[in-house]
Amino acid sequence: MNSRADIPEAFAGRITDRLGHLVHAASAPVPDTAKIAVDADGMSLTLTLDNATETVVDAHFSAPPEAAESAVLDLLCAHAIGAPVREVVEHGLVFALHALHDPNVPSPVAGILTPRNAGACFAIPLRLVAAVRREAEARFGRHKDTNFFDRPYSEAWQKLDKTGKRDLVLPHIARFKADNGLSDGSFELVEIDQYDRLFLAFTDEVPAWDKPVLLMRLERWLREQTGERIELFTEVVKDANRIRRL
Amino acid sequence: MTGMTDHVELILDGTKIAWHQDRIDAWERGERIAPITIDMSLTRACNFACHFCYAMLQENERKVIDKKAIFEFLEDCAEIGVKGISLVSDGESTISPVFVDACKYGHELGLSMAVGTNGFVLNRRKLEEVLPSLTYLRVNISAGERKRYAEIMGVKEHWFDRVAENIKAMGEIKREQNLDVTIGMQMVLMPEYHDQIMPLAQLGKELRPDYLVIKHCSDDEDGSLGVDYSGYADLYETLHAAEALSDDSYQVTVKWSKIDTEGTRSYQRCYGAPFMLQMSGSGLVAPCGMLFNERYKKFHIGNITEERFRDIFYSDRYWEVMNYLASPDFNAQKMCGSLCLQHKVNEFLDGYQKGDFELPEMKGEQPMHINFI
Repeated sequence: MNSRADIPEAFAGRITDRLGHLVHAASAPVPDTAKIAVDADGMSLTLTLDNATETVVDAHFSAPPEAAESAVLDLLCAHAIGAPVREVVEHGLVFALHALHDPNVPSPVAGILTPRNAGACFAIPLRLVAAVRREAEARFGRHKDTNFFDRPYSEAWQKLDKTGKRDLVLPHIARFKADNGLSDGSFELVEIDQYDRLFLAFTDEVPAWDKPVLLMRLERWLREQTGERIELFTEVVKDANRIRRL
Repeated sequence: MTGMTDHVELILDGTKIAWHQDRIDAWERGERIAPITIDMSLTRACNFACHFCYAMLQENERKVIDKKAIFEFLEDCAEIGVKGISLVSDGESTISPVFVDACKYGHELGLSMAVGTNGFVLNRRKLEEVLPSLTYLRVNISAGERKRYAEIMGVKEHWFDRVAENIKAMGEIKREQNLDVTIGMQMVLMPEYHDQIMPLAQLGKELRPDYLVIKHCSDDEDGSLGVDYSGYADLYETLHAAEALSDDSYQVTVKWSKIDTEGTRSYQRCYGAPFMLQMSGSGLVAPCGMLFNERYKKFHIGNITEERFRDIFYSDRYWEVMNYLASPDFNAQKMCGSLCLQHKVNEFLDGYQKGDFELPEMKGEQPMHINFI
């Protein structure tokens, strides 16, 4: 079990928050063929499966409630439900890591943050996921095709027409502008395309090299506010070469 | 070394990332690793108008890479640990006034230098000057007949003759000067160029470069170039026939691993960009060529005409962008075009990260062009 003192600062706040309202904690599993149940170092993870589709229909873990690993496993379970077990194995901890990482606090590593270098609180979850993988492959075989699992936009978002989507995001954009000292006219949302990508057009008020950072921050803000994986783009610039044309 | 037979192995369809285990280990520890390879151009400009050209989709704010900017960039690369620089990317580097100097200076600094070109403005004098500094020089020539060359490459028919002469000269200079450089030809294949596969493979046999590689054509996520990936399957027989023209000193290779995928990716996170960075001929530093266009401004990191590369590399912004690509914020299957430069590196690192395999122990002699992963 990982001492709270060992938790990297970038995860501390969100781990504490999550430990305050764990959703998927349960007692140790009972044997059941519809389940994959694994344990390591006194902690366990149980995935209930629809064997026909290999989809996780329920997920629980057991670990000391005050342990940082509980927050990691709780988020792993949250990602697992509704996903193929293969997705849980391949990306589950990446999602948990991302959910626990406060982007406003320096990362525990200077380079690329992954579950393997994120600190001791990911060590047991990594072992549990490796055990799930072995169990799943023993049961279903190793997949040779590609995992395309990707959570779609929410049903509520999908039901909105373009105007509805625009109305949903515009107040958040206005708030972002106000919070960052930008005028109303500094940029505008010009299009939401068929793939729900949002396109912005900037005026000269925003210096060229402020745009990339601003776009990434605004995108993160919109994702936090809407719960949707909003993607921001600026307008396409056409090829300036005179002799070649699409 | 004078020819292919002197080299250990020429990998044209795969990745050499596994040979750079120290860099993978450092990446895994969360260290800020320098790219092993940087693919860049010295200009956004080009004197050709190739029908398949992805650079048409990569426009961004143009700046001029002058001698000072490129020299400082090369010095920074050598300092931080970059190993190879390929001048390919989104422009025709040979028409930049700093082309020869850049190749020579990079080589002097200990960097492996390589060039991808249409081969038109190169002449014997320039080739004699530049070839000793290069690991490889690859000529983009997507047709084996004059008329079709003019159609596909968007130039006059007689330009074909000059390029063919230049390829021949490259091989001659290599042999005369006993150079290590590898001379290559490359066909960017769209299914509608199928009639040119065999004429080009045959032309290569006459011109005697070391190899001809036949690769798929990349497209953006909106399919702007209109590449029909399902059309490649009909060409397999012809492609195998082209490969059969290989001999002891001329290798014809089809990039099967990419053509076979029909444009899809097996991975969602992009771990490859920190190992293999791309830069635009405008000086723009972005993780990948598919993100050069202004439309992808949120991924743009800096510009070497305005800032030292070492400062860009050590900046938090650089690593913020790289981490974004490695996070669930990003899904390469949905947000990228097809089959990018980093594709094979991404496949490898993603498989390793998922636990599909342990890092292989690489034994024996290293393959050729080890610094171009």
